[in-house]
Amino acid sequence: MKKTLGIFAAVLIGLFVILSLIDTSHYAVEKAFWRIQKDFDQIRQDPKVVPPQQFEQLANKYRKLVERYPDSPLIPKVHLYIGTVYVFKGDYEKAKAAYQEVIDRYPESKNAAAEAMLNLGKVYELERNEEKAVAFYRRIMNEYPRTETGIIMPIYIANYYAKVGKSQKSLEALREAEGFYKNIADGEGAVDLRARRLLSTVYMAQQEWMKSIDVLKNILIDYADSGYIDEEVLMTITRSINTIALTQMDNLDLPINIYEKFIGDHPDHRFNNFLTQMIAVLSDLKRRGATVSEPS
Amino acid sequence: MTKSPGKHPFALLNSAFNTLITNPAAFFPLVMLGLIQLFLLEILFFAPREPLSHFFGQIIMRTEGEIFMHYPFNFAMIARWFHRLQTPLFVLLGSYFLGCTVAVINTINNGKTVKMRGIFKSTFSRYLHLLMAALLMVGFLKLMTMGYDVLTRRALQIRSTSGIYFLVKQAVLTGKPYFHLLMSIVVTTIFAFVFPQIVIDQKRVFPALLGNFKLLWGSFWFMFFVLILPAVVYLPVIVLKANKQFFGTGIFPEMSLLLIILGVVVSILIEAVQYTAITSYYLLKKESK
Repeated sequence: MKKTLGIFAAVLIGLFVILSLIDTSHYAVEKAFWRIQKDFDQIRQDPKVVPPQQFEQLANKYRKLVERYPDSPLIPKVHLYIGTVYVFKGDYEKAKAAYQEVIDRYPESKNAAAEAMLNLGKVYELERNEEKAVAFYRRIMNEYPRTETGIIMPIYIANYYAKVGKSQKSLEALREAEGFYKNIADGEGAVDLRARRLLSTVYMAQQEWMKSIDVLKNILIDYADSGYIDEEVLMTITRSINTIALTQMDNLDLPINIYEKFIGDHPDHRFNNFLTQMIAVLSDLKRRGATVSEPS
Repeated sequence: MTKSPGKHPFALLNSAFNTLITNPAAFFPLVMLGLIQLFLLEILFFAPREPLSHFFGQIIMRTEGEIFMHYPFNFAMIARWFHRLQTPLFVLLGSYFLGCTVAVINTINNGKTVKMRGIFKSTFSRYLHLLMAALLMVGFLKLMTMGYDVLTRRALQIRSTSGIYFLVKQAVLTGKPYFHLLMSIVVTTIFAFVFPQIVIDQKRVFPALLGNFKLLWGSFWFMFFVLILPAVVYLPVIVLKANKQFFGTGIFPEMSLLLIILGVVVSILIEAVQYTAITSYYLLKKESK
Protein backbone atom coordinates (compact mmCIF):
# COMPACT_ATOMS: atom_id res chain seq x y z
CA MET A 1 0.00 0.00 0.00
CA LYS A 2 2.73 2.45 1.01
CA LYS A 3 4.75 1.28 -1.96
CA THR A 4 1.85 1.97 -4.34
CA LEU A 5 1.34 5.45 -2.92
CA GLY A 6 5.09 6.06 -3.10
CA ILE A 7 5.17 5.02 -6.76
CA PHE A 8 2.18 7.21 -7.52
CA ALA A 9 3.70 10.21 -5.74
CA ALA A 10 7.02 9.60 -7.54
CA VAL A 11 5.20 9.50 -10.89
CA LEU A 12 3.52 12.84 -10.08
CA ILE A 13 6.77 14.50 -9.05
CA GLY A 14 8.74 12.90 -11.90
CA LEU A 15 6.15 14.01 -14.45
CA PHE A 16 6.24 17.53 -13.04
CA VAL A 17 10.03 17.68 -13.32
CA ILE A 18 10.11 16.16 -16.82
CA LEU A 19 7.35 18.40 -18.18
CA SER A 20 9.03 21.45 -16.64
CA LEU A 21 12.37 20.52 -18.18
CA ILE A 22 11.14 19.73 -21.69
CA ASP A 23 8.90 22.79 -21.80
CA THR A 24 10.12 24.88 -24.71
CA SER A 25 7.25 27.36 -24.54
CA HIS A 26 7.63 30.80 -23.05
CA TYR A 27 5.94 30.24 -19.73
CA ALA A 28 8.90 31.43 -17.64
CA VAL A 29 9.29 34.69 -19.57
CA GLU A 30 5.53 35.29 -19.51
CA LYS A 31 5.57 34.82 -15.75
CA ALA A 32 8.53 37.16 -15.23
CA PHE A 33 7.00 39.72 -17.60
CA TRP A 34 3.67 39.59 -15.77
CA ARG A 35 5.41 40.27 -12.46
CA ILE A 36 7.19 43.32 -13.90
CA GLN A 37 3.90 44.50 -15.40
CA LYS A 38 2.55 44.85 -11.86
CA ASP A 39 5.14 47.61 -11.28
CA PHE A 40 4.32 49.13 -14.66
CA ASP A 41 0.61 49.25 -13.83
CA GLN A 42 1.39 51.06 -10.57
CA ILE A 43 3.51 53.64 -12.32
CA ARG A 44 0.95 54.12 -15.07
CA GLN A 45 -1.72 55.14 -12.55
CA ASP A 46 -0.05 58.48 -11.93
CA PRO A 47 3.42 58.84 -13.50
CA LYS A 48 3.74 62.41 -12.24
CA VAL A 49 4.11 61.36 -8.61
CA VAL A 50 6.66 58.61 -9.33
CA PRO A 51 10.28 59.39 -8.33
CA PRO A 52 12.64 59.40 -11.38
CA GLN A 53 14.79 56.51 -10.11
CA GLN A 54 11.71 54.27 -10.03
CA PHE A 55 11.35 54.65 -13.81
CA GLU A 56 14.99 53.61 -14.24
CA GLN A 57 14.51 50.63 -11.93
CA LEU A 58 11.54 49.48 -13.94
CA ALA A 59 13.35 49.96 -17.25
CA ASN A 60 16.26 47.94 -15.84
CA LYS A 61 13.92 45.12 -14.86
CA TYR A 62 12.70 45.00 -18.46
CA ARG A 63 16.30 45.08 -19.72
CA LYS A 64 17.23 42.14 -17.47
CA LEU A 65 14.31 40.22 -18.94
CA VAL A 66 15.64 40.96 -22.43
CA GLU A 67 19.11 39.73 -21.41
CA ARG A 68 17.74 36.55 -19.83
CA TYR A 69 15.30 35.58 -22.60
CA PRO A 70 16.71 37.21 -25.76
CA ASP A 71 14.94 34.78 -28.10
CA SER A 72 11.47 35.03 -26.64
CA PRO A 73 8.78 36.38 -28.95
CA LEU A 74 7.75 38.63 -26.07
CA ILE A 75 10.99 40.64 -26.24
CA PRO A 76 9.87 43.19 -28.89
CA LYS A 77 6.90 43.92 -26.64
CA VAL A 78 9.27 44.34 -23.67
CA HIS A 79 11.22 46.98 -25.64
CA LEU A 80 7.93 48.78 -26.32
CA TYR A 81 7.31 48.91 -22.58
CA ILE A 82 10.80 50.29 -21.97
CA GLY A 83 9.92 53.08 -24.38
CA THR A 84 6.62 53.72 -22.62
CA VAL A 85 8.37 53.90 -19.22
CA TYR A 86 10.56 56.69 -20.62
CA VAL A 87 7.52 58.45 -22.07
CA PHE A 88 6.04 58.43 -18.57
CA LYS A 89 9.31 59.78 -17.24
CA GLY A 90 9.28 62.52 -19.87
CA ASP A 91 12.62 61.35 -21.28
CA TYR A 92 11.57 61.37 -24.93
CA GLU A 93 15.03 60.72 -26.34
CA LYS A 94 15.38 57.43 -24.49
CA ALA A 95 11.80 56.54 -25.36
CA LYS A 96 12.50 57.15 -29.05
CA ALA A 97 15.67 55.05 -28.82
CA ALA A 98 13.73 52.13 -27.29
CA TYR A 99 11.03 52.29 -29.98
CA GLN A 100 13.63 52.65 -32.72
CA GLU A 101 15.33 49.51 -31.41
CA VAL A 102 12.14 47.53 -32.02
CA ILE A 103 11.87 48.89 -35.57
CA ASP A 104 15.51 48.12 -36.35
CA ARG A 105 15.87 44.78 -34.60
CA TYR A 106 12.47 43.17 -35.03
CA PRO A 107 11.06 44.23 -38.41
CA GLU A 108 9.66 40.71 -38.80
CA SER A 109 7.54 41.20 -35.67
CA LYS A 110 5.08 43.22 -37.72
CA ASN A 111 2.65 44.10 -34.93
CA ALA A 112 5.43 45.20 -32.56
CA ALA A 113 7.26 47.18 -35.27
CA ALA A 114 4.03 48.92 -36.30
CA GLU A 115 3.24 49.73 -32.68
CA ALA A 116 6.77 51.05 -32.17
CA MET A 117 6.30 53.40 -35.13
CA LEU A 118 2.93 54.52 -33.77
CA ASN A 119 4.50 55.21 -30.38
CA LEU A 120 7.38 57.07 -32.01
CA GLY A 121 4.84 59.18 -33.87
CA LYS A 122 3.04 59.90 -30.61
CA VAL A 123 6.32 60.99 -28.98
CA TYR A 124 6.81 63.42 -31.87
CA GLU A 125 3.22 64.56 -31.32
CA LEU A 126 4.17 65.32 -27.70
CA GLU A 127 7.17 67.27 -29.01
CA ARG A 128 4.76 69.07 -31.38
CA ASN A 129 6.68 67.81 -34.37
CA GLU A 130 3.73 67.23 -36.69
CA GLU A 131 5.80 66.49 -39.75
CA LYS A 132 7.82 63.67 -38.19
CA ALA A 133 4.78 62.25 -36.39
CA VAL A 134 2.78 61.99 -39.60
CA ALA A 135 5.84 60.64 -41.43
CA PHE A 136 5.90 57.69 -39.02
CA TYR A 137 2.15 57.16 -39.34
CA ARG A 138 2.50 57.07 -43.10
CA ARG A 139 5.37 54.60 -42.77
CA ILE A 140 3.09 52.25 -40.84
CA MET A 141 0.47 52.55 -43.60
CA ASN A 142 3.06 51.68 -46.23
CA GLU A 143 5.12 49.04 -44.44
CA TYR A 144 2.58 47.30 -42.24
CA PRO A 145 -0.83 48.09 -43.76
CA ARG A 146 -2.45 44.83 -42.74
CA THR A 147 -1.51 44.91 -39.05
CA GLU A 148 -3.99 45.99 -36.38
CA THR A 149 -2.07 49.27 -36.00
CA GLY A 150 -1.51 49.78 -39.73
CA ILE A 151 -5.13 49.37 -40.70
CA ILE A 152 -6.36 52.14 -38.38
CA MET A 153 -3.62 54.58 -39.39
CA PRO A 154 -5.44 56.44 -42.20
CA ILE A 155 -8.31 57.31 -39.85
CA TYR A 156 -5.85 58.07 -37.04
CA ILE A 157 -4.08 60.60 -39.30
CA ALA A 158 -7.39 62.23 -40.26
CA ASN A 159 -8.36 62.46 -36.59
CA TYR A 160 -4.93 63.83 -35.69
CA TYR A 161 -5.24 66.65 -38.23
CA ALA A 162 -8.74 67.39 -36.99
CA LYS A 163 -7.42 67.48 -33.41
CA VAL A 164 -4.71 70.02 -34.25
CA GLY A 165 -7.27 72.14 -36.12
CA LYS A 166 -6.18 71.36 -39.68
CA SER A 167 -9.57 70.47 -41.13
CA GLN A 168 -8.48 70.71 -44.77
CA LYS A 169 -5.65 68.23 -44.20
CA SER A 170 -8.08 66.04 -42.25
CA LEU A 171 -10.46 65.93 -45.24
CA GLU A 172 -7.56 65.09 -47.55
CA ALA A 173 -6.51 62.32 -45.17
CA LEU A 174 -10.06 60.93 -45.25
CA ARG A 175 -10.01 60.86 -49.06
CA GLU A 176 -6.66 59.11 -48.89
CA ALA A 177 -8.11 56.68 -46.34
CA GLU A 178 -10.91 55.81 -48.77
CA GLY A 179 -8.35 54.73 -51.36
CA PHE A 180 -6.31 52.88 -48.75
CA TYR A 181 -9.25 50.77 -47.57
CA LYS A 182 -10.45 50.07 -51.08
CA ASN A 183 -6.95 48.82 -51.91
CA ILE A 184 -6.56 46.71 -48.84
CA ALA A 185 -10.02 45.10 -49.06
CA ASP A 186 -9.11 41.98 -50.98
CA GLY A 187 -12.46 40.26 -50.90
CA GLU A 188 -12.17 37.89 -47.99
CA GLY A 189 -10.84 37.37 -44.48
CA ALA A 190 -10.58 39.32 -41.27
CA VAL A 191 -8.46 42.13 -42.77
CA ASP A 192 -10.95 42.64 -45.60
CA LEU A 193 -13.82 42.77 -43.14
CA ARG A 194 -11.96 45.26 -40.94
CA ALA A 195 -11.00 47.39 -43.96
CA ARG A 196 -14.60 47.49 -45.16
CA ARG A 197 -15.93 48.46 -41.74
CA LEU A 198 -13.35 51.25 -41.54
CA LEU A 199 -14.25 52.32 -45.11
CA SER A 200 -17.83 52.70 -43.93
CA THR A 201 -16.54 54.85 -41.04
CA VAL A 202 -14.60 57.00 -43.54
CA TYR A 203 -17.80 57.53 -45.59
CA MET A 204 -19.63 58.47 -42.39
CA ALA A 205 -16.92 61.02 -41.56
CA GLN A 206 -17.31 62.40 -45.10
CA GLN A 207 -21.10 62.39 -44.63
CA GLU A 208 -21.51 60.10 -47.61
CA TRP A 209 -24.35 58.23 -45.96
CA MET A 210 -25.57 56.10 -48.83
CA LYS A 211 -22.05 54.87 -49.58
CA SER A 212 -21.56 54.00 -45.93
CA ILE A 213 -24.80 52.00 -45.83
CA ASP A 214 -23.88 50.24 -49.10
CA VAL A 215 -20.58 49.10 -47.61
CA LEU A 216 -22.30 47.78 -44.47
CA LYS A 217 -24.99 46.06 -46.55
CA ASN A 218 -22.33 44.35 -48.67
CA ILE A 219 -20.51 43.19 -45.53
CA LEU A 220 -23.72 41.53 -44.34
CA ILE A 221 -24.29 39.85 -47.68
CA ASP A 222 -20.69 38.81 -48.41
CA TYR A 223 -19.90 37.59 -44.90
CA ALA A 224 -23.25 35.99 -44.11
CA ASP A 225 -21.88 32.44 -44.09
CA SER A 226 -18.25 33.18 -43.29
CA GLY A 227 -18.17 32.84 -39.51
CA TYR A 228 -16.46 36.23 -39.24
CA ILE A 229 -19.66 37.93 -38.17
CA ASP A 230 -20.92 37.03 -34.73
CA GLU A 231 -23.93 38.46 -32.88
CA GLU A 232 -21.90 41.38 -31.54
CA VAL A 233 -20.64 42.44 -34.99
CA LEU A 234 -24.14 42.00 -36.41
CA MET A 235 -25.53 44.28 -33.72
CA THR A 236 -22.89 46.94 -34.43
CA ILE A 237 -23.50 46.82 -38.18
CA THR A 238 -27.30 46.93 -37.93
CA ARG A 239 -27.08 49.71 -35.33
CA SER A 240 -24.94 51.78 -37.74
CA ILE A 241 -27.30 51.13 -40.66
CA ASN A 242 -30.38 52.00 -38.58
CA THR A 243 -28.83 55.14 -37.10
CA ILE A 244 -27.73 56.49 -40.48
CA ALA A 245 -31.07 55.62 -42.11
CA LEU A 246 -33.10 57.21 -39.33
CA THR A 247 -31.02 60.22 -38.33
CA GLN A 248 -29.31 61.19 -41.58
CA MET A 249 -31.52 59.92 -44.40
CA ASP A 250 -34.94 59.76 -42.73
CA ASN A 251 -35.56 56.59 -44.72
CA LEU A 252 -36.55 53.55 -42.70
CA ASP A 253 -37.37 51.56 -45.83
CA LEU A 254 -33.64 51.33 -46.49
CA PRO A 255 -32.71 49.08 -43.51
CA ILE A 256 -36.00 47.17 -43.79
CA ASN A 257 -35.23 46.33 -47.44
CA ILE A 258 -31.66 45.30 -46.57
CA TYR A 259 -32.79 42.94 -43.81
CA GLU A 260 -35.67 41.54 -45.90
CA LYS A 261 -33.28 40.84 -48.76
CA PHE A 262 -30.87 39.12 -46.35
CA ILE A 263 -33.64 36.88 -44.98
CA GLY A 264 -34.85 36.14 -48.52
CA ASP A 265 -31.37 35.16 -49.67
CA HIS A 266 -30.60 33.14 -46.51
CA PRO A 267 -33.91 31.62 -45.38
CA ASP A 268 -32.32 29.41 -42.68
CA HIS A 269 -29.71 31.83 -41.35
CA ARG A 270 -29.19 32.05 -37.58
CA PHE A 271 -29.43 35.86 -37.75
CA ASN A 272 -32.95 35.79 -39.20
CA ASN A 273 -34.71 35.87 -35.84
CA PHE A 274 -32.81 38.98 -34.85
CA LEU A 275 -33.34 40.63 -38.23
CA THR A 276 -37.07 39.79 -38.23
CA GLN A 277 -37.41 41.47 -34.85
CA MET A 278 -35.44 44.43 -36.18
CA ILE A 279 -37.78 44.72 -39.19
CA ALA A 280 -40.79 44.65 -36.84
CA VAL A 281 -39.32 47.44 -34.68
CA LEU A 282 -38.40 49.57 -37.71
CA SER A 283 -41.82 49.00 -39.33
CA ASP A 284 -43.47 50.10 -36.10
CA LEU A 285 -41.30 53.22 -36.01
CA LYS A 286 -42.18 53.92 -39.64
CA ARG A 287 -45.91 53.46 -38.97
CA ARG A 288 -45.70 55.92 -36.11
CA GLY A 289 -43.87 58.34 -38.38
CA ALA A 290 -40.67 58.52 -36.33
CA THR A 291 -38.25 61.20 -37.41
CA VAL A 292 -35.23 62.80 -35.83
CA SER A 293 -35.54 66.55 -35.71
CA GLU A 294 -32.51 68.78 -36.10
CA PRO A 295 -31.39 70.36 -32.85
CA SER A 296 -32.55 73.97 -32.73
CA MET B 1 -12.59 -0.70 15.46
CA THR B 2 -13.99 1.63 18.12
CA LYS B 3 -17.43 0.39 19.06
CA SER B 4 -21.00 1.45 19.59
CA PRO B 5 -21.45 5.18 19.09
CA GLY B 6 -25.25 4.85 19.30
CA LYS B 7 -27.38 7.63 17.77
CA HIS B 8 -25.13 10.50 18.80
CA PRO B 9 -23.52 12.32 15.88
CA PHE B 10 -20.40 13.33 17.83
CA ALA B 11 -19.91 9.82 19.20
CA LEU B 12 -20.25 8.30 15.73
CA LEU B 13 -17.84 10.83 14.25
CA ASN B 14 -15.40 10.27 17.08
CA SER B 15 -15.57 6.55 16.45
CA ALA B 16 -15.05 7.10 12.70
CA PHE B 17 -12.11 9.38 13.39
CA ASN B 18 -10.51 6.82 15.71
CA THR B 19 -11.04 4.09 13.12
CA LEU B 20 -9.20 6.16 10.54
CA ILE B 21 -6.35 6.98 12.96
CA THR B 22 -5.85 3.38 14.02
CA ASN B 23 -6.37 2.00 10.49
CA PRO B 24 -4.76 4.33 7.97
CA ALA B 25 -5.54 1.71 5.31
CA ALA B 26 -9.06 3.16 5.26
CA PHE B 27 -7.61 6.30 3.72
CA PHE B 28 -5.90 4.44 0.92
CA PRO B 29 -8.68 4.34 -1.73
CA LEU B 30 -9.50 8.03 -1.28
CA VAL B 31 -5.84 8.99 -1.27
CA MET B 32 -5.58 7.16 -4.60
CA LEU B 33 -8.54 9.23 -5.83
CA GLY B 34 -6.81 12.37 -4.57
CA LEU B 35 -3.60 11.48 -6.37
CA ILE B 36 -5.52 10.88 -9.60
CA GLN B 37 -7.08 14.33 -9.19
CA LEU B 38 -3.64 15.85 -8.63
CA PHE B 39 -2.41 14.02 -11.73
CA LEU B 40 -5.24 15.58 -13.77
CA LEU B 41 -4.44 18.96 -12.25
CA GLU B 42 -0.82 18.52 -13.29
CA ILE B 43 -1.88 17.70 -16.84
CA LEU B 44 -4.09 20.80 -16.90
CA PHE B 45 -1.22 22.89 -15.53
CA PHE B 46 1.06 21.81 -18.36
CA ALA B 47 -1.72 21.67 -21.00
CA PRO B 48 -0.94 25.12 -22.49
CA ARG B 49 2.81 24.42 -22.54
CA GLU B 50 5.06 22.37 -24.78
CA PRO B 51 4.74 19.46 -25.53
CA LEU B 52 1.17 18.97 -24.21
CA SER B 53 0.02 22.13 -26.02
CA HIS B 54 0.25 20.14 -29.29
CA PHE B 55 -2.79 18.24 -28.10
CA PHE B 56 -4.53 20.66 -25.74
CA GLY B 57 -3.61 23.96 -27.42
CA GLN B 58 -6.33 23.88 -30.06
CA ILE B 59 -8.95 22.73 -27.55
CA ILE B 60 -8.07 25.52 -25.12
CA MET B 61 -8.00 28.15 -27.87
CA ARG B 62 -11.36 27.05 -29.27
CA THR B 63 -13.20 26.62 -26.00
CA GLU B 64 -11.60 29.31 -23.83
CA GLY B 65 -9.66 31.66 -26.10
CA GLU B 66 -6.00 32.20 -27.00
CA ILE B 67 -5.30 34.26 -23.90
CA PHE B 68 -5.91 31.27 -21.63
CA MET B 69 -2.80 29.64 -23.11
CA HIS B 70 -0.74 32.26 -21.30
CA TYR B 71 0.28 33.17 -17.77
CA PRO B 72 -1.63 34.04 -15.57
CA PHE B 73 -4.90 33.38 -17.43
CA ASN B 74 -4.01 29.68 -17.62
CA PHE B 75 -4.96 29.43 -13.93
CA ALA B 76 -8.52 30.54 -14.70
CA MET B 77 -8.68 27.84 -17.38
CA ILE B 78 -7.31 25.23 -14.95
CA ALA B 79 -9.92 26.13 -12.31
CA ARG B 80 -12.76 25.98 -14.84
CA TRP B 81 -11.67 22.71 -16.44
CA PHE B 82 -10.96 21.06 -13.11
CA HIS B 83 -14.41 22.07 -11.91
CA ARG B 84 -15.97 20.59 -15.06
CA LEU B 85 -14.03 17.36 -14.51
CA GLN B 86 -15.45 16.88 -11.02
CA THR B 87 -18.77 15.32 -12.07
CA PRO B 88 -17.34 12.70 -14.49
CA LEU B 89 -14.55 12.04 -12.00
CA PHE B 90 -17.03 11.36 -9.21
CA VAL B 91 -19.21 9.12 -11.38
CA LEU B 92 -16.41 7.15 -13.03
CA LEU B 93 -13.78 6.96 -10.28
CA GLY B 94 -15.19 8.49 -7.10
CA SER B 95 -17.98 5.91 -6.96
CA TYR B 96 -15.45 3.07 -7.22
CA PHE B 97 -12.99 4.43 -4.65
CA LEU B 98 -15.79 5.28 -2.21
CA GLY B 99 -17.00 1.71 -2.67
CA CYS B 100 -13.47 0.53 -1.86
CA THR B 101 -13.46 2.70 1.29
CA VAL B 102 -16.72 1.07 2.40
CA ALA B 103 -15.20 -2.36 1.74
CA VAL B 104 -12.09 -1.48 3.77
CA ILE B 105 -14.17 -0.32 6.76
CA ASN B 106 -16.24 -3.51 6.52
CA THR B 107 -13.06 -5.62 6.51
CA ILE B 108 -11.70 -3.72 9.52
CA ASN B 109 -15.05 -4.15 11.30
CA ASN B 110 -14.92 -7.90 10.66
CA GLY B 111 -11.49 -7.99 12.27
CA LYS B 112 -9.85 -9.26 9.08
CA THR B 113 -6.58 -8.10 7.58
CA VAL B 114 -7.05 -5.45 4.91
CA LYS B 115 -5.72 -6.72 1.57
CA MET B 116 -6.04 -3.87 -0.87
CA ARG B 117 -5.64 -5.95 -4.01
CA GLY B 118 -8.55 -8.18 -2.97
CA ILE B 119 -10.68 -5.20 -1.98
CA PHE B 120 -10.08 -3.41 -5.27
CA LYS B 121 -10.92 -6.62 -7.14
CA SER B 122 -14.08 -7.44 -5.20
CA THR B 123 -15.34 -3.83 -5.38
CA PHE B 124 -14.70 -3.77 -9.11
CA SER B 125 -17.29 -6.53 -9.52
CA ARG B 126 -19.83 -4.04 -8.07
CA TYR B 127 -18.59 -1.17 -10.24
CA LEU B 128 -21.60 -0.96 -12.56
CA HIS B 129 -24.01 -0.60 -9.65
CA LEU B 130 -21.77 1.91 -7.89
CA LEU B 131 -21.55 3.91 -11.10
CA MET B 132 -25.34 3.90 -11.54
CA ALA B 133 -25.82 4.99 -7.94
CA ALA B 134 -23.32 7.80 -8.45
CA LEU B 135 -25.16 8.85 -11.62
CA LEU B 136 -28.41 9.04 -9.68
CA MET B 137 -26.72 11.13 -7.00
CA VAL B 138 -25.29 13.50 -9.59
CA GLY B 139 -28.65 13.75 -11.37
CA PHE B 140 -30.35 14.61 -8.10
CA LEU B 141 -27.72 17.24 -7.31
CA LYS B 142 -28.09 18.71 -10.82
CA LEU B 143 -31.85 19.06 -10.29
CA MET B 144 -31.24 20.96 -7.07
CA THR B 145 -28.61 23.15 -8.73
CA MET B 146 -31.09 23.93 -11.53
CA GLY B 147 -33.49 25.10 -8.85
CA TYR B 148 -30.82 27.42 -7.53
CA ASP B 149 -30.15 28.72 -11.03
CA VAL B 150 -33.83 29.70 -11.31
CA LEU B 151 -33.42 31.52 -8.01
CA THR B 152 -30.27 33.24 -9.32
CA ARG B 153 -32.08 34.44 -12.44
CA ARG B 154 -34.87 35.82 -10.28
CA ALA B 155 -32.33 37.52 -7.99
CA LEU B 156 -30.66 39.16 -10.99
CA GLN B 157 -33.96 40.90 -11.75
CA ILE B 158 -33.86 42.67 -8.36
CA ARG B 159 -32.80 46.24 -9.05
CA SER B 160 -32.52 47.48 -5.47
CA THR B 161 -29.11 48.77 -4.49
CA SER B 162 -29.86 48.77 -0.75
CA GLY B 163 -32.33 47.32 1.76
CA ILE B 164 -33.61 43.82 2.33
CA TYR B 165 -34.12 42.92 -1.36
CA PHE B 166 -30.57 43.93 -2.13
CA LEU B 167 -29.33 41.74 0.73
CA VAL B 168 -31.41 38.82 -0.58
CA LYS B 169 -29.95 39.38 -4.06
CA GLN B 170 -26.40 39.46 -2.71
CA ALA B 171 -26.99 36.38 -0.58
CA VAL B 172 -28.32 34.42 -3.56
CA LEU B 173 -25.58 35.57 -5.93
CA THR B 174 -22.66 34.96 -3.57
CA GLY B 175 -24.14 31.95 -1.80
CA LYS B 176 -23.90 29.44 -4.65
CA PRO B 177 -20.81 27.54 -3.37
CA TYR B 178 -22.30 27.33 0.14
CA PHE B 179 -25.62 26.16 -1.28
CA HIS B 180 -23.79 23.62 -3.41
CA LEU B 181 -21.97 22.28 -0.35
CA LEU B 182 -25.25 22.03 1.55
CA MET B 183 -26.95 20.27 -1.35
CA SER B 184 -24.03 17.82 -1.66
CA ILE B 185 -24.52 16.96 2.00
CA VAL B 186 -28.27 16.55 1.51
CA VAL B 187 -27.71 14.28 -1.50
CA THR B 188 -25.05 12.27 0.35
CA THR B 189 -27.51 11.88 3.23
CA ILE B 190 -30.37 10.81 0.95
CA PHE B 191 -28.15 8.17 -0.70
CA ALA B 192 -26.04 7.46 2.41
CA PHE B 193 -26.47 3.69 2.62
CA VAL B 194 -26.57 2.92 -1.09
CA PHE B 195 -22.83 2.30 -1.43
CA PRO B 196 -22.67 0.08 1.73
CA GLN B 197 -25.68 -1.92 0.48
CA ILE B 198 -24.06 -2.43 -2.93
CA VAL B 199 -20.60 -3.29 -1.60
CA ILE B 200 -21.28 -5.09 1.69
CA ASP B 201 -24.62 -6.73 0.92
CA GLN B 202 -23.85 -7.22 -2.77
CA LYS B 203 -27.19 -5.67 -3.74
CA ARG B 204 -28.03 -4.30 -7.16
CA VAL B 205 -28.56 -0.57 -7.45
CA PHE B 206 -32.37 -0.43 -7.16
CA PRO B 207 -32.75 -2.91 -4.27
CA ALA B 208 -29.88 -0.98 -2.65
CA LEU B 209 -31.82 2.26 -3.08
CA LEU B 210 -34.91 0.68 -1.53
CA GLY B 211 -32.87 -0.68 1.38
CA ASN B 212 -31.22 2.72 1.75
CA PHE B 213 -34.53 4.53 2.10
CA LYS B 214 -35.78 1.95 4.63
CA LEU B 215 -32.67 2.49 6.73
CA LEU B 216 -32.83 6.23 6.33
CA TRP B 217 -36.43 6.34 7.55
CA GLY B 218 -36.22 7.77 11.04
CA SER B 219 -32.51 8.47 10.90
CA PHE B 220 -32.35 11.11 8.15
CA TRP B 221 -31.61 14.05 10.44
CA PHE B 222 -29.14 12.01 12.46
CA MET B 223 -27.22 11.12 9.28
CA PHE B 224 -27.55 14.69 8.05
CA PHE B 225 -25.82 15.99 11.18
CA VAL B 226 -23.20 13.26 10.99
CA LEU B 227 -22.38 14.33 7.44
CA ILE B 228 -22.65 18.09 7.88
CA LEU B 229 -20.30 18.29 10.85
CA PRO B 230 -17.13 17.16 9.05
CA ALA B 231 -18.22 19.13 5.94
CA VAL B 232 -17.99 22.34 7.98
CA VAL B 233 -14.21 21.96 7.61
CA TYR B 234 -14.70 22.76 3.92
CA LEU B 235 -16.21 26.19 4.65
CA PRO B 236 -12.83 27.96 5.02
CA VAL B 237 -11.83 26.54 1.61
CA ILE B 238 -14.98 28.06 0.05
CA VAL B 239 -14.29 31.37 1.80
CA LEU B 240 -10.70 31.33 0.52
CA LYS B 241 -11.80 30.46 -3.03
CA ALA B 242 -14.55 33.11 -3.05
CA ASN B 243 -12.06 35.73 -1.86
CA LYS B 244 -8.98 34.55 -3.70
CA GLN B 245 -8.34 38.02 -5.11
CA PHE B 246 -8.13 39.28 -1.56
CA PHE B 247 -5.85 36.42 -0.57
CA GLY B 248 -3.29 37.22 -3.17
CA THR B 249 -4.13 35.76 -6.62
CA GLY B 250 -3.64 39.30 -7.95
CA ILE B 251 0.00 39.17 -6.85
CA PHE B 252 0.50 35.43 -6.82
CA PRO B 253 -1.77 33.73 -9.40
CA GLU B 254 -0.44 30.29 -8.40
CA MET B 255 -2.53 30.75 -5.25
CA SER B 256 -5.65 29.61 -7.16
CA LEU B 257 -3.87 26.34 -7.97
CA LEU B 258 -2.86 25.90 -4.32
CA LEU B 259 -6.48 26.50 -3.32
CA ILE B 260 -7.63 23.75 -5.68
CA ILE B 261 -5.05 21.37 -4.18
CA LEU B 262 -6.18 22.37 -0.68
CA GLY B 263 -9.78 21.68 -1.76
CA VAL B 264 -8.82 18.20 -3.00
CA VAL B 265 -6.98 17.34 0.24
CA VAL B 266 -9.75 18.65 2.51
CA SER B 267 -12.44 16.87 0.44
CA ILE B 268 -10.59 13.58 0.81
CA LEU B 269 -10.34 13.97 4.57
CA ILE B 270 -14.03 14.88 4.84
CA GLU B 271 -15.17 12.02 2.61
CA ALA B 272 -13.00 9.57 4.52
CA VAL B 273 -14.62 10.59 7.81
CA GLN B 274 -18.12 10.71 6.30
CA TYR B 275 -17.97 7.29 4.64
CA THR B 276 -16.28 5.68 7.65
CA ALA B 277 -19.12 7.04 9.79
CA ILE B 278 -21.79 5.94 7.31
CA THR B 279 -20.35 2.43 7.02
CA SER B 280 -19.82 2.11 10.78
CA TYR B 281 -23.43 3.13 11.42
CA TYR B 282 -24.66 0.81 8.67
CA LEU B 283 -22.75 -2.15 10.15
CA LEU B 284 -24.02 -1.27 13.62
CA LYS B 285 -27.60 -1.25 12.37
CA LYS B 286 -27.02 -4.59 10.68
CA GLU B 287 -25.55 -6.09 13.85
CA SER B 288 -28.44 -4.82 15.95
CA LYS B 289 -31.04 -6.50 13.68
